[in-house]
Amino acid sequence: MAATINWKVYTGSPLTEAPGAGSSAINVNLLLADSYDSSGSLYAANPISVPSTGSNYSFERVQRAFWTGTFNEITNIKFWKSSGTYSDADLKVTANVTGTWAPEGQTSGASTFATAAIPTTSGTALDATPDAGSAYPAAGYSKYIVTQLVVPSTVTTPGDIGSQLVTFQWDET
Amino acid sequence: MTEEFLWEVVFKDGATLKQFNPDGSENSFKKIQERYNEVTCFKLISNSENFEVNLLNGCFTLNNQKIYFFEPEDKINYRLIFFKRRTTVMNSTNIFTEYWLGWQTTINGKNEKRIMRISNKRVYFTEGG
Repeated sequence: MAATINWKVYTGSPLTEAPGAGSSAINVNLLLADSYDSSGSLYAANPISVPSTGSNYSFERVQRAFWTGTFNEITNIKFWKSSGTYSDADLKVTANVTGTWAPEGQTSGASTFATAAIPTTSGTALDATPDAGSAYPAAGYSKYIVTQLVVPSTVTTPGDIGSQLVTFQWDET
Repeated sequence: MTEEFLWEVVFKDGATLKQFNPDGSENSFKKIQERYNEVTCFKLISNSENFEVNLLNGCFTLNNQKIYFFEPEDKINYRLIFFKRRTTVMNSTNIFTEYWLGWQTTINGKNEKRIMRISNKRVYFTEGG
């Protein structure tokens, strides 16, 4: 038997988890709304426009992994963007991890937390292993991963930036 | 998700523990962790392949081929390493699994590891401290 992973997205303050128990999120679309894009179409109605100066931002997108099923421990949890290229070289997705995420709410201004570019290799992946050591004797969560899309004024090819694949990796016994 | 390999362990007293009991119930790896210092042999078994590590002499066995990193007569205290490394991407039901099996020991104050990584029908050895 093996653990089952469910991807969860969080919105609002206090945080609300989506989708419901036993279900896994189908995307972590970055949009100008603090909403989980359950239909995969919400992003089109909430785009981040190219500003005349400076940068515009998506709302911070908060997610984490939740494991259920039969397993002993889950450790060494890694997260990274494993494939996909942006439609414009000046677009940027930033990311960071935290064990606790309790701001007043996710921001659509520049994140003060997710400031570094999302890793794109397993070797540089974010470590989402919980501070408590790491392991779960029962169902449990990874750390929160916070991401944000940054759209600077220098972007010249607006529109859908295309799908990017994000990966979770973990060690299990 | 179906596991490609199932484990089986042998303890110092000769007792064996398999991942699944004859009645179909599954044993947690925790049962091995509770007797970590008593493990003498750990096996991964599939329908067509067998891999094992012998913690009495550090010998790896790959389908009956034995591999030693130190002389088997050397008195070395080997400690088991085993985990499954899973990888998946969002919105996919596919989970890729690598099996990591090996030992670690301390020689002259230095930690030594030898791990056999079974991945996609290939076996890789990694060393480290």
